[in-house]
Amino acid sequence: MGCFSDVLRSAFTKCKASELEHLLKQWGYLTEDELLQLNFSKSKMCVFRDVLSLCQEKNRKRETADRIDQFDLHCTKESWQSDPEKFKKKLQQQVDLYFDSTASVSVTLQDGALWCRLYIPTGNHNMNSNTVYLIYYPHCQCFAISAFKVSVQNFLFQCLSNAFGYATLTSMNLSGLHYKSLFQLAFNKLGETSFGLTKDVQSLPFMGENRRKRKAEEIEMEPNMRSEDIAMKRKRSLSLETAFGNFEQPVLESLQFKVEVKFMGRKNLKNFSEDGEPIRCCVKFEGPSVLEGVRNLASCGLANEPLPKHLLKVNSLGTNNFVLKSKDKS
Amino acid sequence: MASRRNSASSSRGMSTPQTSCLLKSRLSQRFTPRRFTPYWRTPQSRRVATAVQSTKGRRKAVPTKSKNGSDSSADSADLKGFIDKTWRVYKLSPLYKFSTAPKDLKRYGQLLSSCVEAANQKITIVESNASGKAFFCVQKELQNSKDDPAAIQILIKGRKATANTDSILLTATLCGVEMEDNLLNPEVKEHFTYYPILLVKSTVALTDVLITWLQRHFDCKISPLIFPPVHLAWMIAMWSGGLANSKRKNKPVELVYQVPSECEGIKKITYSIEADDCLRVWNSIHDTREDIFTEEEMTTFIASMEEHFYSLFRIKLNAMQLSCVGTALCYIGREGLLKIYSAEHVICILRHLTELSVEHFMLNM
Repeated sequence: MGCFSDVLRSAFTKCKASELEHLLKQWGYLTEDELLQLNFSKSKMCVFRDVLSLCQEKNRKRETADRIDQFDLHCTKESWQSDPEKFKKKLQQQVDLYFDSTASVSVTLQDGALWCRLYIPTGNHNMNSNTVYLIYYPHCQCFAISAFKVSVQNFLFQCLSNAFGYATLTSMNLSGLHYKSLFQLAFNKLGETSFGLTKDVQSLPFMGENRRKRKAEEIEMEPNMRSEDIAMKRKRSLSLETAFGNFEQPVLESLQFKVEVKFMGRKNLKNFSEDGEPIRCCVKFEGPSVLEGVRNLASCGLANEPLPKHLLKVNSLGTNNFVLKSKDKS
Repeated sequence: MASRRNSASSSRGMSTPQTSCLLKSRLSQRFTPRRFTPYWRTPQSRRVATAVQSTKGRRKAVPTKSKNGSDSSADSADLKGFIDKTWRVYKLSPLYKFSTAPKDLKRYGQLLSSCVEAANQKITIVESNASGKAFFCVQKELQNSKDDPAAIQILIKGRKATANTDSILLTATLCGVEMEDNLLNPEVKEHFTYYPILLVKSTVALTDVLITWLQRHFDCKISPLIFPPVHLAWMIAMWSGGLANSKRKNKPVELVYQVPSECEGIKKITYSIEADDCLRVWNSIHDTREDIFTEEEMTTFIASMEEHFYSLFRIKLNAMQLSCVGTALCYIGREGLLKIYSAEHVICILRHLTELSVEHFMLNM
């Protein structure tokens, strides 16, 4: 019972006094009569004590515990979600400061994120190039933005940093079409602590749907055929599971590496002069879901394990443009 | 690599009946029971320049010199119309009763225009053009040797539904550059003209109209010139060092590999290497004093590039197929797409394409 009161107390502190009645009604654990007994004109703590005693009377410990946890989450969600109208006013104010009055802002709330559309007209009136779209999960450290003109970049960034309340904006060099995956990757990077990162990052609660678990790979067994390397296939699928985790990889459309290392194809070359100059090349993987594809390359046998770290760690590095350089010996 | 005997020198097999063969093939003694097989031999020797005697197992590399040794700078100004356009390359069988006399060309223009008009009325897409006039003219710049047929340029000018001015809707060139002499049987030579290549830049609908008209009018067969990966690899080997001596910054050498469909998620891998670095590797394989390069050198070059990739990513590129290649001179796609960047090398690239087309035709006879 002791922990119930702690959880309930923290839930109560999170929500606003004016919304308390509404929240308790929505919660639905207390009956109508019990709700009528509560006096909402008193302070939050008084209401809290009354609610706690009502819950204790219910005498169904496990269910009470679950329901109280739900209430806590509910209150947290409420405090997370910003009012789109308020955000719009804030953003509009900033935009009016930096751009002329024909600029317009519109904001909606969907799937827990604020979707904003900014129309900033410049010289030519081509609609598409003047419109900038933003996706922002409130109180988070990152946002996603669509393509914008270089000429408006300075002012746009200043106005966004004022609206969000952060001092500087830096590009994460991460782009793609599937915004939920992009946020997943961004949070993997931002969520790194000094203890390292757990591989199976569970779904972020405010994003809604859970990440789907991969279907188990079936090693097909025809009745008349015998596979000679079943052990190798099993070993491979186990090692891929440890490397990539059990969940589906986030969706990325392209992955690019700029490489500058010394030439390593010298096995057949007799005359290659070892002058130490690196070979510069650029490799780009493209497809509907590149990270899933990299895993499939290994499982199809087109890539040998162990895969190099720069392919395995894309999940936690928060970008899809990498530069690989050989270490300077000097 | 074990050298294969050039089958022109072997005397096995039966000869094909003379009446059914339009082109006097230098491989006429060759026996092919399977006429329609799509497989062909990888040639041991590739003639980049016009070596008169065929050198077995070797290949000459004289990238810029043309047969007549004509002034390349004057030509390159006229050939600017070929660069920076994405062409589709087709191969043709000989055209029956095609003449290059001016009044015949004018007549062809009128016939093609009426065909385009008729097609326009059938097409119901929004972008149908109000009028399309076709013009045939001779392009002198591409005629490098006396055996080459006169290159013909076909233009269709018209007006799009939305635009106010006439624009060129289709550009096509029928040509053959530095072809080997005596390809046509003397008895049929007066009636047939052989152009190995047709380059077209246009929409799919108009290209179809042109091709159908040519096929129907001149009783020939036109099909896209497909470049299998081995040909693409040769082109990389030949042309990756093409502009190395010039001062301007070169486009990187690009290899686009297609990932097999059983690996879901990745469609293609683009591997591009800076031109200078590519040349360094190439120079270490191939002795620059020699004008000849062999199949062995080509495979070593590609293999060493793939090995470098493997050491970086542990992905086996040799299990995947090349689908497009790009060098500083041009960009070639497997399905017959071509884009040339350098006007000085137009002749040399077209010469190579002519050779590929002629080879393909001969092998399928």
